[in-house]
Amino acid sequence: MSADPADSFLRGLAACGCPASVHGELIVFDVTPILGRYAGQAVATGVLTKELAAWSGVPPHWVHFPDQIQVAPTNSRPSPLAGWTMHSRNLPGWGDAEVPEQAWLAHVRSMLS
Amino acid sequence: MIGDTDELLKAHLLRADGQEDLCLAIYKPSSGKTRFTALICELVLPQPGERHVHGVVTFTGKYVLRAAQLAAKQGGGVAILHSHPLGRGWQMMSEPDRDAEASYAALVREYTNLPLVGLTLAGGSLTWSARAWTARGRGSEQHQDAISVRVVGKQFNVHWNNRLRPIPSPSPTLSRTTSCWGTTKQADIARLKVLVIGAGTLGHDVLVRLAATGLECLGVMDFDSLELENLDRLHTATVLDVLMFLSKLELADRECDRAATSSNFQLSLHEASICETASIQHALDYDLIFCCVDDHPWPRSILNTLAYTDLIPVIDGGVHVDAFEDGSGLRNATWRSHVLRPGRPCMACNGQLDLGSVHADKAGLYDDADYIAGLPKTERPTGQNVSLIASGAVGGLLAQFVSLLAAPAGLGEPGPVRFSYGTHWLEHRQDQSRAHCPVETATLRGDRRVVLSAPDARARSRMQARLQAQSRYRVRIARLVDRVVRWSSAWLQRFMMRPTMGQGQRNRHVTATVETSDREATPNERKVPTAPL
Repeated sequence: MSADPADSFLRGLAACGCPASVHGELIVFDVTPILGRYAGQAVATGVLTKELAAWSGVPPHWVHFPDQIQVAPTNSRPSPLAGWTMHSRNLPGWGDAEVPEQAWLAHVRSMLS
Repeated sequence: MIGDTDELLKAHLLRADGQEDLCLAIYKPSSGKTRFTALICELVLPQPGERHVHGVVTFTGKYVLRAAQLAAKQGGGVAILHSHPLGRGWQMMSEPDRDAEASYAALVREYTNLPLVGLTLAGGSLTWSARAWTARGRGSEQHQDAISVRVVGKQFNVHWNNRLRPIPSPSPTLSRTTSCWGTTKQADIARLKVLVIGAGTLGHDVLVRLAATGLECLGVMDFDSLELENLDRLHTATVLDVLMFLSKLELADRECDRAATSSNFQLSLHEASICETASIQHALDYDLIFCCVDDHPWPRSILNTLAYTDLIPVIDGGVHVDAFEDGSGLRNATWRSHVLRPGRPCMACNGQLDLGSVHADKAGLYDDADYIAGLPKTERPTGQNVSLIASGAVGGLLAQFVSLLAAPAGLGEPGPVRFSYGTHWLEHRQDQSRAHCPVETATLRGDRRVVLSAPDARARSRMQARLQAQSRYRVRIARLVDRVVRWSSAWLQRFMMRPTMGQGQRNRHVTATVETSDREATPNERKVPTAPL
């Protein structure tokens, strides 16, 4: 793999129709959940760039949302991005998807459902 | 090379008419701390007119150029492979062989920035020999013989250069072992460089057994200290060892010294975490690795990767204890073992590694009490283990080793197995590799591997705490007395052995602390072999 893993993640997101941008330590992009209280709304989310060091072999652990976004409570901590919170979520069975970025988007949407 | 590649090459190079044949291949470099390995990954078979078989085999510059261009595009090097149909054992090069390879070495290096590698297949014994070509200056080339050629399949076959790694001298202490699988197999097994990562319940026992089996070159990597709670499983450790703040590495050193049967035994101690870049470099110097780390995803993910990217078989296993929540008894317990290699499902595919929790482990969350308290009960780490159950797991690991190396009935390793104490059932698992497994798609990537290596804060903190404890006055006195006792015991053994067994003094080589470094190797760093292949 000659491409930087973070670049590969960005390109993959763009190919999935989710252009992303870098905000400090975070890569930020929008997801639109299909179900739940945020169904149909574009919700901002992010991942730490350093957690993409071994993408796509190892997915990030923390999922970042703006503070006002409510998800099922588990371990949560303040995000490096002001006004955001990072939520701990395990992702069992990672490694089954042909397009790993699509799998990550599905994971984030499932948290919002 | 992978076993399938070996079979393809034999089919091409061993002709029905008994003549020599040749082909080229692309290899990827895998650079350890002291060892350079060429991973044969893609065959470049000759097109019409590119090679001519006429008793001997000749080939065109155009063929080499084509292979070099292909290799350069992939970041790989070029290997020339040819056969000696009637040859047996490690093959030396004839004058024409030497001239042919030397004449293309510079061209290949210009295109690929990697040395040309030559391999010869001896048709009589179906064994390989190899060498690499480097510039000697003033336009001349020299070759450096490889120490071994390793073929990783259901069996792990290592073809040794007996000149560089001599056959171990026979020992009366190994007569029973040798009678089991023969002197040739014993010589092959004994010369393997085996690394055990994790010197706890499983790793310690594996190490001692390997040392007793006559292996000459073992390594052990761990950073942890002995604690009282380990004593029910580390059966050679004592309360005194705990009070002296012995590391698990020091215990392993002591017990392997007692158990080793080879007169040339060397144990390398790597006081480090496999998660660090420097440790990975050391691991790449070994032929086979036992993964005996506890249930931490981060180190397991690294070993899982190396088994595929660098073609180093990793034997992994563990214990799972399912106790009733009210503490009233045991619902069930199982142990598992398997070999990680191309052709077998990786740890993530066979359910033994959750890639999604690697970053959590790396961040130290599984040692964070607040974080663990916030997890659902079913996701909290348990850490239960029992010596009586762990001994089964050790047996499972060593059984995989025996099957892989000695291959009883020629069958090789059996795939993942799991034993259930509840039903007494030994199950051959039918786990399959997933179609898009990100680990297995990185097979043979070599130095271009992507691993999540970083300074391991947990390991460094444990080592620092142990060093501080060891510096206390009483502890220093106790450790000094212990060393004197050990030295006396070793001297007494040598004194008693001298007139009876005729064995010379055992060579002990101990590598102390691995230099951990925060500098991460860049993907473009390559190693030209100045050290043995």
